[in-house]
This record gives sequence, C-alpha cells and structure tokens, in this order.
Amino acid sequence: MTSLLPSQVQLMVEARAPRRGLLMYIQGDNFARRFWGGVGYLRLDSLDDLDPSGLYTGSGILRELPPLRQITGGKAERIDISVSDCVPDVMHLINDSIIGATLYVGYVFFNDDWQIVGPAAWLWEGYIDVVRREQSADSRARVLSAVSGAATRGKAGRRYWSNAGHQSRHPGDKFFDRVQLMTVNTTRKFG
Amino acid sequence: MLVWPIALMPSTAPLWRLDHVSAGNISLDGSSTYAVTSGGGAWRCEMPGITLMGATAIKAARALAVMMDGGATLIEVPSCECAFAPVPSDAVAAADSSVPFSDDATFSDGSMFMTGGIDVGLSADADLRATTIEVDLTTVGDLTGGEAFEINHAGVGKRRYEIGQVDGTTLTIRPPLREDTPAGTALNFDRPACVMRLVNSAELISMVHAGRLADMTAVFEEAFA
Repeated sequence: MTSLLPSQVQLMVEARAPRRGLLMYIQGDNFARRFWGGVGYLRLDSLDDLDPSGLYTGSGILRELPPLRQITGGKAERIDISVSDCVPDVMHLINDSIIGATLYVGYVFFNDDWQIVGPAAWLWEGYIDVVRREQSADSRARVLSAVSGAATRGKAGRRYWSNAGHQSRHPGDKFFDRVQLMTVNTTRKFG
Repeated sequence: MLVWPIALMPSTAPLWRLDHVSAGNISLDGSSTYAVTSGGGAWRCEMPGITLMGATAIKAARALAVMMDGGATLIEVPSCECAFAPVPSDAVAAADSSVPFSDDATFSDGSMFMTGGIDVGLSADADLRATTIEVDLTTVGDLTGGEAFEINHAGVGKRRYEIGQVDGTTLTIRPPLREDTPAGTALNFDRPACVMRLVNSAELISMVHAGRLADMTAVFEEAFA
C-alpha cells in the first residue's frame, strides 16, 4: 500500500485548486472492478501498480465516500461506500462473489491539462463483508461496507477452550471434561 | 439513436455548460479553497423557452418525450453553431471541394457542387483523456478558440468538445477526449452533437394553452450508458 509521494504533496501545495480523481478498485477471486469519481473513462496504464491494464469507469457511479483514516495499533476501521445502483457496471456487483473481495481506495492527481501526474496513490485497503441496498422512490444505491486490517465480524474458531468446543473437535476426548467443575463461582481466565 | 430535432430548438441559443464538481471550504478570511474532482467535467445543455405552436409541434414534442422514456433512452443533442463555426470563405471552399457534373459540365455561372465546407481531421492518434490534439486543417476558416466541434467516437458515440487554444495545427480542447481516437477522424464543426440524457422529464412540456400553444424546457446531461 503506497501513500502520497512527496511530488504529489508538492503538487497539492502549489496548486490552489488541485485536480484529483478518486479511485476505487475491487479485486475478487476471479474478477476486478474499477471505478473513479470523474466523468467518462480513465486509464492509468503503468501508473497503476495494482492493475496496469485496467480501465476505470466513471460518471455517476460513486455517490458518497466517508473520510478515511489510517489507524495504527491493530485497530480496524469500517467504511461504507455508496455507489449508484443504476449503472450496468455496478449491477455486476450484485452477486455474492463480492463478499470477501479486497477494496482499495486511492487518488490520482492531474496537472493543468488534466493529464495524470505521478502514480496512483492507494491510501486504504480493506475487505468487503457486507453489501446492502438502499432504495427509495427516486434513489437506488448499493452500499459496500468494508473493514480494514484482518478484523472480521466472526470470533476466532477456538476462542473458548470449553468441553463442548473440545468435543466438537475431538469427540470422546475428556481433557476438558471437568473444566466446568473447576469454574464454579470463579471466572475462567483461559476460556 | 434518437436525435433532438432542429425544429424543437429554442428561440434563444441553448446554454451549453461544462459542469465541474468542486469541493472546499470558506476560510476565516472569507476566501474559498476548492478541489475539482470531476476529472474535466460533463456537458449540460439547457433549452428554455421552446415554443410549441400548433397541434403538430405539440404532438412531435410529446412523441419525442415518450420515446426518451424519462431519460432512460439516450439522445443526440445537436448544437446550432453557424455563428461560431470556422466557415471558410466561399473562394477557399470552392477551390477545395467543388465537383462538376459527371460530364464535367458546370452550372451556367461556372460554379460547381460544393460539399461540406469545413474539413478538419486528426492528423495523429489521440489518447483517451487527451486535451491536446494535432489536426489537419484541410478546409477551414480561422480558428481562434471558442469553437465547438464534435467527434463521433467508435465506442461512446458523438461527443462535444470546445477549443481553448490554437497553436498552428495544435488544438487545446476541453473536456478531455472521451475515447482513444485514431488519426483521420473528422472534427465536425457544422452541427456538433453530444450523447445526452434528459434530466427534467417531469417538467418537460407545460400545460397547453388554448388547446394549441405550449412551452417546453429541456435539460440534458452528458451520458455514457
């Protein structure tokens, strides 16, 4: 995961009205979808270290993106990205294969002639684990909820070393058989 | 694809605007900072004050309105650029494009058939999102900047561009090219069109006065799918 290059920061500092485009790249097991926040299509070629062959689709797809934070110390961050549900490219995302796909969010910067300056800066990486639809009379959206880091909604498979858990893994083994008796009126520290 | 008819143009020229999306804040000193995130903008065309006189015109407008299906069906919206197009002088146009009858006969005053008028094409391949293009100025008047033209792309169809700067045969244009475009592709200055979507279908045609007079206001946005 790259971050802003010094040259890109310099560009933003020098320009009173920096021109930037938001990139969103979704990589699944056997598919990749590319969207950006501008009008028309965008091709990054070698400036895209994730996928140099891709063509990013724009025009009305990205609706809302929350502020991104880079949290250290093992904490995870969850973001919701809202995309239009009226665009053919988004309709491909309806199937369940997007669950577990990797989501990258980044920026690309343009010079005064709308030509790309420097490589794409990928700022956030997470995993899509929830997709929900928001629909009203005049609005149809699909919200991709993604979480950064290795956090998931489920607990670890061996979080509790209880007899019941042990029996499910090793039927008949009595190693944890009397744990229940040991923990009467106490708080277990190990499971 | 549907084409917006010239007969339904408003009495005043339609407003073509390149919409940018910007975001920023007002600072303590009152000035604003902003960042443009739309990547060059999209065309928006507003046609207020289209007068529909008579049942025939009203029916034509109604028919077109239902065929656009509330914006679901895209439409080519042309622009009358007669006043701004780089039309060559008659002498230049006649020298470049005059064609006689098949037996080499001319009209009684010596003139011949004339085609097109403006003949400009790309002299080199242009990439997607290019804003500088090289052109062959075969037959054209003076280019000064501010002219609108159309390129009929193979994938995204007809798209409107406007010239910002002219440096010989190098043109600086906006918005960025919508598609890779090969050398030889024509630039249409006569009646440039753009593929768009109707965005005000609910308010398109006003109530009909006296049974045969109505107003129409059409607003379009550039569309890709």
